[in-house]
Amino acid sequence: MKIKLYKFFSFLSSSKFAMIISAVILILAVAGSLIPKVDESTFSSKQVSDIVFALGLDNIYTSVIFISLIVLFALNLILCTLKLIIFDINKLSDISNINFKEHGRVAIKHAEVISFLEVCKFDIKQEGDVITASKNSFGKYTVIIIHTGILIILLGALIGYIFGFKGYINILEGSSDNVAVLSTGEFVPLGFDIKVNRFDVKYYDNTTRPSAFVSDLTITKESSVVDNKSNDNQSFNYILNVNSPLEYEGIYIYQHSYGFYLNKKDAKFLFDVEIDNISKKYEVRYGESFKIKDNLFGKITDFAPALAVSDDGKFSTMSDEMVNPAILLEAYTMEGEPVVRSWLLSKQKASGDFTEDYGFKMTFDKLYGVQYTGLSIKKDPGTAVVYLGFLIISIALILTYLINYTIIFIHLTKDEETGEMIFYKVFKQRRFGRSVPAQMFYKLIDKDEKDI
Amino acid sequence: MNDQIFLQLSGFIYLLAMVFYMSSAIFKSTKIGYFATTLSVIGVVLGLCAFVIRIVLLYKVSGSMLDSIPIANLYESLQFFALLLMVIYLVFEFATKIKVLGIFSTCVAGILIILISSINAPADVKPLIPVLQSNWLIAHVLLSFIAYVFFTLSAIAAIFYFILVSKGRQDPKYSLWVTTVSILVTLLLSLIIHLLFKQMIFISICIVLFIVIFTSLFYYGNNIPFYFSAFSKDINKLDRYIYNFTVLGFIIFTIGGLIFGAIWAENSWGRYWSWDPKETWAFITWLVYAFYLHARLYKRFDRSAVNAIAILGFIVTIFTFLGVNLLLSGLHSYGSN
Repeated sequence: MKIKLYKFFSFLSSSKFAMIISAVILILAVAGSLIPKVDESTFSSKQVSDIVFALGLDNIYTSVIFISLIVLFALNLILCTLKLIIFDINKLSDISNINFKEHGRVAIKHAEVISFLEVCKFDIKQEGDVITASKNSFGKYTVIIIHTGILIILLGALIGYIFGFKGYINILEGSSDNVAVLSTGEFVPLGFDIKVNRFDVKYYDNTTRPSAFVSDLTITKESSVVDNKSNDNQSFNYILNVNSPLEYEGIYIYQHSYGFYLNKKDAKFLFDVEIDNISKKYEVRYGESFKIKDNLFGKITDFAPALAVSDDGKFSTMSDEMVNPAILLEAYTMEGEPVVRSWLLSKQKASGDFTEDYGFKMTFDKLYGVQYTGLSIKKDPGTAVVYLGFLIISIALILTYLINYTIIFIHLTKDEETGEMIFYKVFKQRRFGRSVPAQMFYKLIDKDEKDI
Repeated sequence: MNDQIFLQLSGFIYLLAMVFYMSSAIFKSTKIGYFATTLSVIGVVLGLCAFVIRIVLLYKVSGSMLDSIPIANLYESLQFFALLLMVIYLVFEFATKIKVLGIFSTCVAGILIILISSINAPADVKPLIPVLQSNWLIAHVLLSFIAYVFFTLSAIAAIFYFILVSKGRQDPKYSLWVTTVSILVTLLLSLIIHLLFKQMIFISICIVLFIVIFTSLFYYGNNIPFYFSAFSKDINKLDRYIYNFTVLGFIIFTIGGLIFGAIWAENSWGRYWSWDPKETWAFITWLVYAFYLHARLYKRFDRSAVNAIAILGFIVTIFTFLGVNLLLSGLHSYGSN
């Protein structure tokens, strides 16, 4: 039984197992990237689709099989790393197993070797006639540190998997919400309120290429019952951009997507009217009359999301997105006599300039309340752990190839023909670096370095 | 000013340099070698001109220097990759005085540039979409590309390794290098034919081309090691270069490609890892090279087996770099147009 268990563990910690596991993970990962997304309608037979979904093969990376493989990989990595630690600490410098006669030999004065090792600042240990000289000893731990780093990342991922969540909220311009929806369909209360004051897609000039997605948010901490009495609501504004998420109480909010929700009832046109250099803001619904100045009234009677003007003055719509939103302004006198019927384009300010004829200038800003912002909401206490893993791997990876750990075992002996001579065994790592300790030693004994 | 003219000219000069690098090996002439190097340098200068012109054009539309580094779409990344490959190769050549790797470095750089026009990668100057407006763009893309270049150079060195160690036609190592070189040459010729006649190259023609090249190389390739005999005295040195290129690529790829990429993804998508096709293939690339590094430590793999992984790694790298963008869609799809 014991032997079987030992065999099992030694297989689990073997490089062979590591290779098998990596190969299977690799094959599944390739398959996952090549197989298009599937749903129930993909399969003609219900049984097949049941099997596929039961195994989680519709999304390989979250399937039980894939995650079990990662767990096995982690297990293998832990055991391999432990083996490496044991090897580095105990076996690497264990001289009892070395049969020096199998290794290199050279005739050289013992004093010369020892003084060389001292000059080159090797750490020297002498047991009887065997010298163990090592240099850059930290180098033997860097590989262990890299492997530990990978394990730390996996640990961070596990923490995120257990304690974190990832969800979405779509909030219409002007309204607010406080519950995120997870991909599983569950609802998660956030504990604070997100109000979207305004959402804009900005475009590069004269193109339909977006330059920014911006949500103007107000975050309000929901006061508890106790707080409610003191009326102590915490509230702040945040301009949310892509690539600059908002962090609040351990929850991260990202600008993720956007969309349209057309409701004529709540939608408002925002614009400014300037008369004699005095500007006034308006919020007006579709078809609603508003007073521009004495004896002049206006009405918005049409809207186009992306109006373009050609050279001959013809209008065309270039996109469904609000690239250059425009309104049709109809202005009339108190008596109902129409005086202006004109398209105002938000990006061509001149289109609303009626200063010469009627003494006012109107600047269209946007149609408010028809776009929603898609926020992705995330809580992941494991991220910091993952980043720690990243840092450890980065540093240790660089150090691994800069530090040339070398250990030289030298058996001082004598030969009747040549006098003083040594047997030697060099263990070195295959690294970069100009000053390689092993090379200095090879130079001393006048031997070309054999690449290992 | 148009950057494309400079780019195409640089591609042409790289291919010319390739011919001279080859001649210098065949005729063992250092003079021709110097000429090849000079041509490469001219190619790089022209490539740099194209790169700088593009920066200026981008700056005009974006108004920000940081957002004007042309590495954001397929056209720009192919151009940048070719330039980076030649720059790093030339640094290597000046440092080591070894010229043979120039044959395939210029060949790959030339292929990349012809590829731009073959697949009609749009060359329009377009400013960055919001998700790419980040300082991580330069760090992540630049470092990933440097890593790809080192992987490419390691594969090129590996091809020479196999040319030198293979013994006769029965040796599988012989077939390995003949196949790899045939693929490269077929690719280059098909692209040139496509460029000259502006016609779709049919797969059947490619296959015929490949068979012709493969067969002729297979039968006459026996003499080729002779031309690179300068290396054959020190095959360990060549092996060492393969290793050094791979290690450099691996370190830079781990940090710049995977870790910086993950941090950026966390910052803009809210997930440091989401198994997007690009991420998946980057992971596969990383696994293959990690396997190379581990396999070198085990005695059960001989040097040839290990160096074959370097060539395999290059194929995976190319798929990660180009295949994913051209064939699969995902979060990294902005690289495909």
